[in-house]
Amino acid sequence: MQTDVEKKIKWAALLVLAGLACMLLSFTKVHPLAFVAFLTIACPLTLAGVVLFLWTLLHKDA
Amino acid sequence: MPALFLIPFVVVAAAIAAWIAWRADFTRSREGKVLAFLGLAVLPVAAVFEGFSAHMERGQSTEFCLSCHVMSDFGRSLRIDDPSYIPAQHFQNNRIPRERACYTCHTDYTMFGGVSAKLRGLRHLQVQYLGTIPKPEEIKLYYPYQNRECLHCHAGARRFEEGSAHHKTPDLLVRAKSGQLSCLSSGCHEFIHDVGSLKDATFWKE
Repeated sequence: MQTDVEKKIKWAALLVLAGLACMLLSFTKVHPLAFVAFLTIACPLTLAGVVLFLWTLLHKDA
Repeated sequence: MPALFLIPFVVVAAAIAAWIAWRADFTRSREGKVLAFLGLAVLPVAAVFEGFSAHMERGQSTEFCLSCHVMSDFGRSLRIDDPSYIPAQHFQNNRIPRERACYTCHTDYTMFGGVSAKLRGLRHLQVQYLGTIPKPEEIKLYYPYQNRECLHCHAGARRFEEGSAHHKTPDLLVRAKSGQLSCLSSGCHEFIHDVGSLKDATFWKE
């Protein structure tokens, strides 16, 4: 049975995973759109995951 | 960090994130907490910074600049078989690195240089996909080409400083160095990309 903290960590991991996957995809093309995708999709997803994870660490049950 | 190392780095970070997503209960142990901190904080942040750096590096490549169709004629102009065409002469004789040919001479252009130049780069993307794409021959620089881009390499070079063409008038070199006289002035180095006349040009075959 997952605790609330573990559920949040799982979501954080999924966000980081999605962001890193987009980042990898953005490296497959040398094109301005790849750079824009990196900036507007990969970075926000990854950083949102990191922020959620760090925020979860502050939870009293962590 | 070159892409060669960056990609495995990102893959490792993604693998740790995937493991944590699958087995979040692993973070109950001390090792799990350390791994989670590494995989969900340290490595992703490092990947973002290194990824940004890698994209900026790739953005300086000739391939990047020519990846939009409208720029392909500018790429073709680098292979005009006529040494009076300055970009072609520099490209074909390795006077500039071929893989960074555009960026070497247009250092303040599009996605690089100042913030306003970066915003112009985004505007170019908007025009490319949502607007009306101009004909290649209608594309102009926002500002007159600066001698700074030429002097960056040529200033101090013997051929440049002592060349007879640069001493046709006593103050020619002084005016060129101060920017009062453009290197691309008529009668000097006036043939640049000239994409409007490509259909009549012959091209260098490597």
